[in-house]
Amino acid sequence: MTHDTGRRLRKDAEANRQRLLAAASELFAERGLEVTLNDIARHAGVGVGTAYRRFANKEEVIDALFQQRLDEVITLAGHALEDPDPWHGLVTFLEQSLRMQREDRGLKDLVSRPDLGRHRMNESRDRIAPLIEEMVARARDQGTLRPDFEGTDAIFIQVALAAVMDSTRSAAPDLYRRYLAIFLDGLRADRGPLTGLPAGALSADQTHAVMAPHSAQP
Amino acid sequence: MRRRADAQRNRDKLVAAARALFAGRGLDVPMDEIARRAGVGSGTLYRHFPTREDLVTAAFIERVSENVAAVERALQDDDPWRGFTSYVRETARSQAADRAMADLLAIGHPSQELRALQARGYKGFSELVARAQASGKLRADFSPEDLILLYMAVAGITRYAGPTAPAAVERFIAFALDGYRAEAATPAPPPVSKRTMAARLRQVTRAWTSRPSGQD
Repeated sequence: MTHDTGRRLRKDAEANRQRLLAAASELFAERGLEVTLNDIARHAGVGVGTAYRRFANKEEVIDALFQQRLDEVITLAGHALEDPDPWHGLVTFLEQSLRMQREDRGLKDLVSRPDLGRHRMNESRDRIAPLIEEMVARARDQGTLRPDFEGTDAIFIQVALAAVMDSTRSAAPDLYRRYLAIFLDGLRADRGPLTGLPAGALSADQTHAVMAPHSAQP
Repeated sequence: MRRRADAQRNRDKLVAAARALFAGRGLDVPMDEIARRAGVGSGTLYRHFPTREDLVTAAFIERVSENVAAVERALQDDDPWRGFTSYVRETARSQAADRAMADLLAIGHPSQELRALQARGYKGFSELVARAQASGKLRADFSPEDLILLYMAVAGITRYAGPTAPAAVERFIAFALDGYRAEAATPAPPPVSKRTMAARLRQVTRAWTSRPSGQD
């Protein structure tokens, strides 16, 4: 009996935690990171006291949300690396991670704010960049991906397509997929003579440095 | 006479300051900051340019005209595919070099004058596309509307990549152009209709121009 009650409490706590995270994600997307933990509790339909038992402050909510998303991306990357067809794995990863971004605008705010995002950006780079490198290397070795394509190019493709997605979100939410399809055609090694690339790829560190939030730029 | 020369000098200083600030930071730079950089008072700024739209038009009319001239030059190329690719490269480079230009091309133009130029450029680009498709080099399902997607994509890279944007954009354009080739093509999902895209651009442009220029 006590054992069952304990388990139910833990289950309730976890359910509340998930509801708070979902509400936070929605509110961050709608109103930016300025919302308070009280706002989040109200939006989740959870008492303020309960909210503070799950999270000490908003920072913790952001952290938990970020971890959750990061884990999801890493899971996607893991599937891609296990795909027996490396090209298919890479394409699926690009598609799914973009779809994730489309559905979660709060995440974008999170990584583009220097005060809230920096250490999380570092963590996400350290964990995700090597997986993308490996994905790209597998597809290159397979002979499907053009040999001059680098892991950092995949990151710029995501930046570019995320911009398309942002601009067309209300008018044509699926339009970025058209551009992705056309773009992927340009990445294949087996489609006739490819254009020589005019500039070398950036290293992962360089990419990370340039992608750091630019608000500090003159 | 003397006063007119002063007025012209102030106007030139304001346009130069606007260009420099917009280029590095995009179109959101506060008007007062532009006046400060030009070394003139806010009153002078608003006498010359009552709205932000007026200032943006003055700052970009040459660049946008150059862009239209580039389309028209590309149409003169004997090789339609070379004409198409050289224009795409040129226009993407103009974005990579200037954040405000990147945004202007991606979100549409805020004034009647710039929009008229843009319409002329679009007409030329449609011809460029038709010619390149007729030559068999450009994939048949490429739509002139796809240019705006490219602008959005390049604007995204320009915003993120900061000082390394030109190199990142060169690579990106090379990949994109390879995907535009007919021999690379696999079927792509359908393009957005011209109407949908036009409605979207009107919406963005309205939001953009309705921002008060005075109180920012």
